[in-house]
Parts: sequence; C-alpha cells; structure tokens
Amino acid sequence: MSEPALEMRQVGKTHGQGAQRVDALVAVDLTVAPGELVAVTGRSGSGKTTLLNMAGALDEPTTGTITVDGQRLGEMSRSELARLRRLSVGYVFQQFNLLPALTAVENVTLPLELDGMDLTEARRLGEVALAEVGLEGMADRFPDQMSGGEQQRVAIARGLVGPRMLLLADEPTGALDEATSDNILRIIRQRCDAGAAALLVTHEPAYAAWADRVVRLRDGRVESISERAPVESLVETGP
Amino acid sequence: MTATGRRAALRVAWRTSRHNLKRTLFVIMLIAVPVAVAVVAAGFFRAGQTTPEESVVGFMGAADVAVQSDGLPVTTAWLDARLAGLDPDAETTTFRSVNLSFGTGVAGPVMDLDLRSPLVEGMWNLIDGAVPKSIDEVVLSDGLARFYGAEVGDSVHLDPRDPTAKAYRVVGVAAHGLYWNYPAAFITSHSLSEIDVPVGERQVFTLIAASGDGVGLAASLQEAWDQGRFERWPTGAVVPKPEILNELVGDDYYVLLDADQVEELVGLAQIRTTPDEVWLRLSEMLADVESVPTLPWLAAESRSAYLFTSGGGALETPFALATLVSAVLLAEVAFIAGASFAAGVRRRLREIGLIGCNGATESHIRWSLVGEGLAAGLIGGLVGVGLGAILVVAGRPIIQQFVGLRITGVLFTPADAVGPMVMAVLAAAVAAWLPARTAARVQITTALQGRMPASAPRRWTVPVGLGMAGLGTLLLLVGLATESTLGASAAALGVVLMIGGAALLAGPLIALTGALANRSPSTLRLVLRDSSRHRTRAAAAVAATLVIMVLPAAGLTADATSRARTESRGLRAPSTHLILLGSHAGPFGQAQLQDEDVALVRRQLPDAAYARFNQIDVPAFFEAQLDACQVEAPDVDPGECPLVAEGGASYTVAHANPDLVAVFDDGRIDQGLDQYGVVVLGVDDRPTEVMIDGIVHDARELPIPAIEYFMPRVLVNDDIAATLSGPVQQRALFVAPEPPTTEQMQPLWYGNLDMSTGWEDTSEAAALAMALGGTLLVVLIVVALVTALSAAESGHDIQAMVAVGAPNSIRRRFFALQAGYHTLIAAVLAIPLGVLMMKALASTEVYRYAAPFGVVDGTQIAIPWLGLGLLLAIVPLTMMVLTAVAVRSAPMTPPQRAG
Repeated sequence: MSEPALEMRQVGKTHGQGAQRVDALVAVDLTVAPGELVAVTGRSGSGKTTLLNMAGALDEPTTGTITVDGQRLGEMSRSELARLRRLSVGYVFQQFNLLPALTAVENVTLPLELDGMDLTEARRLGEVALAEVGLEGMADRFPDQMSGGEQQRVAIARGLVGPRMLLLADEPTGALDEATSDNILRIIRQRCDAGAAALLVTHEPAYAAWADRVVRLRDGRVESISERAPVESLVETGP
Repeated sequence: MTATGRRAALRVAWRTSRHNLKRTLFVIMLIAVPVAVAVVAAGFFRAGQTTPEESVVGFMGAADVAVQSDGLPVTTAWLDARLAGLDPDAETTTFRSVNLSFGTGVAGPVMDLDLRSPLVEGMWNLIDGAVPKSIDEVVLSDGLARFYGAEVGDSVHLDPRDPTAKAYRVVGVAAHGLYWNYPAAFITSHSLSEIDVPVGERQVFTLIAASGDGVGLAASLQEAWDQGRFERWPTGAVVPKPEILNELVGDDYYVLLDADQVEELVGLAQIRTTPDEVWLRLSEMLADVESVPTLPWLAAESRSAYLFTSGGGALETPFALATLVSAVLLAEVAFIAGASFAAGVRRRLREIGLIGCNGATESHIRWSLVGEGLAAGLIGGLVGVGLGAILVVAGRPIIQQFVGLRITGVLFTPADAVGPMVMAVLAAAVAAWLPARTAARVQITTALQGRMPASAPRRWTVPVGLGMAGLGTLLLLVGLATESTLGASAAALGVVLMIGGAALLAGPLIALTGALANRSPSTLRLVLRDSSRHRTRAAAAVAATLVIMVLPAAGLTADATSRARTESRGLRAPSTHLILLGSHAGPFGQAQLQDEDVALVRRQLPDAAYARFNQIDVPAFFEAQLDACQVEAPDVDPGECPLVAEGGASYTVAHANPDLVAVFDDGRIDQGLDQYGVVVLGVDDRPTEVMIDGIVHDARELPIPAIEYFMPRVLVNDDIAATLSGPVQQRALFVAPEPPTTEQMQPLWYGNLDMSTGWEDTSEAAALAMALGGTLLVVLIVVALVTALSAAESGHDIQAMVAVGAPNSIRRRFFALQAGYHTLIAAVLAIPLGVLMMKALASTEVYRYAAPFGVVDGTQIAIPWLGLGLLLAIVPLTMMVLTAVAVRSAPMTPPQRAG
C-alpha cells in the first residue's frame, strides 16, 4: 500500500484561554490516500477551514500530528513548511484564487518558480497543467480576462502543478453557478482518478457526492465518515 | 532563497506594479519630482560656476599677462617705458575703457578694444557685423543690443536718457566669453576720447602675449610699480608709509595725513586693541576732507597666477549639491511613499496570503514588495533624471538669463544623476521595506482574511521617545555651543533625534486618546478607536505631518523673535519714507543739506509730503534704557551703561517744526508736544520718559514708524529745543504716497547725496500666510495618502456601520475627522518642538542690550501665540474640510432599486 498523501492523528486546535477558550478541532483522525477525494462538510464554525489550514501547513495544531507526503509538519522549520507548500500541497479557495497581475500560466508556475525551477521548464509544466484542466491556449490570459470557472480551473492547475499531489479546496464552487461548479468538481475528480489526493471542504451535500468519502464535522469533532459510490460512474454521469 | 525564487518574487513585484499602474505612477512621480529638482539645482549651480580656464579667458582672452591701470598720464608713461623693453616678438594690445550708464539700471564699459586682435579671442567674439571704423560706428555686446532692442544697422544713443548725446550706428554685435548679459560697447579710439568721465571711471588694459615667462613678467612689472609708488604720490605725503599702517590705513587716506598725524596713528597702532580704534582716530583727523585723491594704480597678473587663484572644485560641487537636495526632499517623500506602499500592502493582503499558500517564504514576500519599491525608485529616479535633464536643457536660455553667465558647456552630466538616483532607490526601498516586513510576518491564514492583525502596544516607545527628544535637545545645545563642523553635525543629529523622539511619542499619544474615547459621539469614537487600533499607520501619518509642521512652527517663532528684536528699536518705516541728510561730504565729513538737494528729491518725488527740520545732536535715552541701566548700573550715566553701549546706537533729537509734524499726518503728535513738549516715535501710545542731554523729561510715546538710525525718534517742541546746545544738522524728511520707482530713485542714487529710505518688510500676516499655505499644501499630500490607506483598512467597519443604520455620510465624516485628528496630534507635537528648537538655537546667543523700547536678550525668543494658535487650528480644520469635500459618501446598502 502506498504512503498516505495526508495523515492527521488526534489533531486538535484551541483558540484563547480560560473562559475564552474555544476548541476549533478536537482529536481529529483523518487519512487521505493518493487517488482519493475526501469531502469535509459541516455547519459554519464546525472547524472545516481550520482542518484545511492544518493540512496545508498554514496553521499549527495545538495537539496531534499531521503528516503530508510522509513528512511530519510539526518537525519542520518555517522554510521547510514553505517548501512543502511549494512542492506538495496545492490550495484552491472560493475567491481570491489568482494573482491579478500574473497571467494564467504565471499563476500556475508561481510555486515552481519560487522553488527555483528553470523558467522554461516551469512554463512547460504549467502549460501541461493548464491543458489537463482544459485551458489550452489560455496560458497568457490575465485573470480579469477569464470567467469565474476558468479562473477556478487555473487555480486547480496550480494546485496540482509539477510534483504537487495533494489538493486542498475550500468551497471552490461557492462563487460559481451550478453548471460551472459541476465542471470544476469533475476536473478535481479526474485529477484524483489520475493519482492526486484532494480534500474538499463544502457545505453543499450535492457536491460532496463527488467524493470517495465524506467526513462530517460538528463542533470541531468528526461526527461521521461515509463512503460513496465507485468513482468511474461519477465521472461519466455525475452524482 | 534561490536566484530563480528571487526572480519570481521580483517578477510578481514588477507585474503588480504594472497592474496597479495608477498607484505605481503616483509613487514614481512622487520620487521623480525631488530627483528632477535636485538635477535642476545641480544644473543651476553648474551654470553659475565657471572653471578657472573659462574665468581666465573671460578676463584676459588669449593673453599671458593682463595689466590694468588707471589711464593717468604718469601711469601710461611708466607702462609704455616698460613695454618698450619687452622682447620684440611679444605681442601686445592696449585698450581703454570708461564706465557709462546705458540707461535705467544698466551700466558698463565703453571700450576702444580691437575686436580683431588674436589676444582678445575668447574674451570678446564678434558674432555679427564688423568692427567700428568711423567715429559714429559702434559694436554692441549682445547683452546691450538686447537691452536697446537694437540690431546691426540701427542707430543708438549710448545714454538714451540724454537726447543731446551722440548717436552711433550699430555695425556689429560681440559676445563676451563668460557673461551672457554683459552690457558693453566698442567704439573707435577717437570717439572714446570724446567721452568725458571722471578719472576714477577710466581704465586702461594691456594684454601681452609674452614669448617667455608670463609669470615672471607680471611679477616683475608689479614689483617695479609697487617699489616706485611713493614717487607718484601727491607732494607733501609722508613717505615711506610705515609698515604697521599698511593693513590699517588705505593709501588714498594715508596721503592726506601730515607727519604728526602719521606718528600719532603709528603710536596708536602699536598699542591698539582693535583696528577700529585707529579707524576712529583717522575719521576724526580727516573729518573735514571732502574727497580723497585718486592715486595712480597698476595691477599686473599672469595667466598662471589667475588660474591658480580662480581655484577648482566647481565640478565636484554639483554632485554634492544634487545629492544633498535629493536626500532632504526624498527623506520626506519616503514617509509619503511609505504610506502609499503600506496602503498597497493592506489592499493586497489576500494576494500576499495566496502567495504564502503557494509556498512563498517571508523572504519571498519581502522581496516581492521591496522589489516594487526598488522598481518605483529606479523608474522614478530615471524619470526624475530625464525630467530634470530636459528642464535643464530646455530651460537653458532661462537659466542663462538667471545666472547671467554665458553657458557654453553642458549643464547636466551623468555624474549629477548618480546621487539623486541612489537616494531615490534608497528612499523607495526604505519606504517599501517596513510595510514589506510587516506583511511578510502576517500569518497566512490572517492575510487570507484581508485584515492586518492589531499590533500589540510597545512599552518601550514612551521612554525611548522621551529619551530621544531629550538627547536630541542636549546634542543640539552642545552642537551649537561648539563652533566646528563636528558641532554642526551634532546639532543636526540633535534635530533629527528630537523629531524622531516626537514621532515615537505619536503612537502612545494616539493610544491614550483612543482609550479616552468612551464617551465621545459614535463617529469620533470610531475614529479614535480605529487610529488606536491601527497605531502604526496613524503614528506614521502623524510623524510625516509632524516633520512638515515643525518647520512653520520654528519659522514663525524665528520671525516673531526677529520682529520683537527689531521692534525694540521702534517701528520701521516703509519704503515710502526718505530722509535726506544732504550732499555727500567726503568719507568722514557730515553731509550738508543744500537747497538744490531738496529740489532734486522733490523733482523726483513730486507727490511726497516733505519737511526740513533741525536735528540736534544731543544724547537721548529712552525709558526702557533708563530702567535697565537703573538695575544694571545705577551709579553711572546712561551713556556709560554697558547695556546701552552694547546696543551700539546713539540717538539724537529732532526739533518738531509744524512742517515736520504735518509730514507725519498724526494729530497725536501735536497733542503730545502741547502736553509734554516731547514726543517719542515708538511702538505704543503711552506716557513715557526720555533723558535728553542729561535731563529727564516726561513724554508721550506714539506708535509711529521712523527710518531706522537716521530719523531721530525724539521730537521736541520749540521751548525744549531752545534749551539744547548740541550741534544742529539740517535734514529733510519725505513721505511719498506710494513706494518710489527705480526710475524715480536712480538719479538720487547716482547723485552726490547722503540719504536713507525705509524698508518694505514682509508683514506678519504675509509671513503667517506663507507658513500656513506651504504647510497646508504638503500636509494635504500626506493626508490624502493616509486617507487612502485608511480607506483600505477601515472600509469594512464603515460599511458595517452603514448596514446597521448609520447615514451614508458617515464615511465622509469618518475620514474628515480622522484627517483633522491626525493633523491635530501632529500639530500638538510639532509646535512645542519647533519652539524648543528655536529656543535651543537662541541659547547660544550671548548678547544682551537695552534698546529704546525694550531690553534685547539674545537667549530669549518671542513666542507667536496667535500664529501658532492659528497653525494649530487652521491646518487640522482645513484638512478636515478638504477631506470631507474629497471623500465620497458610503454607497447605499442595499442598492437603490431602479425605477
């Protein structure tokens, strides 16, 4: 069995102290394997985004351990964490996904370039990533020359460019219409089918249906984990 | 961080700069303007400088030796004899020159210079036409041709005011090698001989191209002339002149002395404590001399010696000047650009978070933001240099006109741009660094929310701020007390520390007022709390405004102090007043008023009220002086009182005849003379005392201006005048309805008159208006930027308030109040700081003297309460109003329905 893309063990996060203490996450155990799409659902304030931030090395857990691509985050320095974000983890948000001053391909290759990759090689990988999300020929467009759905596809391309194999998506369809949302989720699904792992935060039950598993959070705790239908049928027909 | 990573970060910076083009252009122009100013300043300086080579060519053309002399027969004969002994191969050219007034305000030489002589090359160049050949032909310098508006073929009178003067036909135009506007005319030798001018206005120049050693030739000529100078002195002069008197008494005065006087002066010089004592005695000896003789003179100078004395350094100075000017201007720009960068960083905080999400380290983020600063600095510097260079090149004729020198070389060199460029990049990088550092440290999750975290209060700011201000004051005092370059540097550092300390105190002061906001109205409370929450931004805004406001505060204090010191000598008369002492009576004699002198002034100022009156030379001491001396030296005569003597002024008395009273056109003078017999032209309307010739009189002081030092400030009636026994001098006072024009004054200046006029002083209101105007202009830029920054940071809070029912105008009120609040805090800190700086500056002034209307103590300053109060009130208020006008109301929420 291959190594998990993401493994969280007894992860907890507490804000404040004393009477103002808030437990954002409590003893969460979660594993995402390569090729797996896991949806995280729950009400507002249930800890979904906090969980995602922990997985992406944007925030530190108060308790527990997180392993990404075999690397334990708690043992890494700030610069090592930054490198992990460049090479292993990709993020997609509901909004503010792209840097408006950079073209589509420059947005995609940004993590590679920050890591010191040769520009030509980075561009080649960027164009491949864009092609994989169906944006051939749009490499040199700026974000404001693209639709919301196209921008989100660029963000997914960036999330999985080069060696990155873990995509963390926080309500990636929140600002899109239904048809475009379906398209975005289909792409994520396809990338997972191709071997990537994805953790998708959503509070739209219909979209969670694209996932292999659905983790439901309530008050920072895992309330339930449910398995879904075989992946192939979803890609062909939708949930 | 790898090179590629850094390149990626810089690319983000570059693209972001292009994306936010308006802001980038604003910062670029912000930086470009001071750089352009620095380059233009360097260009102006360069234009106003001449290299030693240019100077020597302008002075002696291509000659090796130039000999200037008075043109007297004795000198000409002496020089001719020497020139006859020169090497036959040595080329010489001699020309005469007389000074003439060519018209209003324009005077210059008329010469019989042969413009074709190779020795003149570079000094004067014929640029149009031909040389004069007949007696009615003239070549004008281009400056004079411009003044006359004349061209070749025109006819001119060399003195256009004299219609009987000879007319000349312009046959050519010549340009001086050095001076652009040099008024000069060239005529034939025969024509020059016809011009009658006093001996002192005549000179002869001989240019020599020596075949051998020019230095030796010039030195030998000068030495031979100096050794034989006593032979050419008037008969009866005591020769040789004692060496001890060489530096103390000029030759032209010395030749007037007899043997006893020379002996006395030598004795005095041997025991003297100051040169003034010798000069004073000389004045007494020569009091009756009406004019001094013109002694024959000759000065020979070699090309090499002239080059040596012209010195160097002209090339290094523009570089230093440009660097200094740009450093001063860009220091303030760094504040403003810093606020602009901070605004940009806050607006783009989510983008920064996004970059962080993609694996950017703190260093990457810093580089991407500082890169923006570097790019803006580099482009701003280049634009500024380009703009400055264009201004310097395009404005060459104006610069030439301004500096008066003919510009032959370049006014802009790349070297001039180096300093401003470095300063521009440095200022922009520094301005970008702090926001970049702050942004890079923000947690990615916080940045993704688009809000800067509230900064924790820093406890060290108050003690450090106070310490810096205290240390700065100390350094300023020590620096001013130490008369050296090191002292000046310490004083400058002290000023910087004082301002820095005050700027540091801005944060805690804002936090304090924020804590006191509980009971204030909601908008004001929001402003105070918001400023307190965003203390760093608010403190930067206050600091930038404070730096600007220190200047008017210090300037107004200096102006008030200067006015108070001036006023202690009485109110100064404006330029409409003129006092005529009479015809000039030689260097040491008393002027005597003649009827024709008065008639000349009346012709020129026909509308002026005038009066002739008697000035009685008896000592007069005023109440303030008497009081001060009573305390300081009660047992001595006021004339001997050190406090009065220190002032250096002696005051006399005027006999107030009806004409004189009428000239002042103030009925209170008549009343005062009737009541007391004595009126003082002072600063206030009050009863006073005056000691005239040892007797104390009651008097009335009136706030009436008088010409400083020349118009007696004590007017006495007939009875008291009859009792005074001092020497009487007749004077005439004129008061014109309007300030006289240059045209009206010129004949008086050129006449043989001793006179003085009042002085048009900048009014207190004008000084205040200038201080306020300049301050408002610069503060407005800072406030505009800070408002933009604040709009980026606090927009959400305002929208939230609108959403819960606040009127849409709350946005306008919020930013207006905030602008006024920040400016007020800056003013509260800046005004005492400016006053303190002037106080520290004054503390090194050790003089103290009793003037007629107050004791002047150099260490004391006058605080302009009204001006400072207006500065405190008007600047914040104006900022508030302007911001209210400029800022839009918050958009309607929810939006209005169409139809």
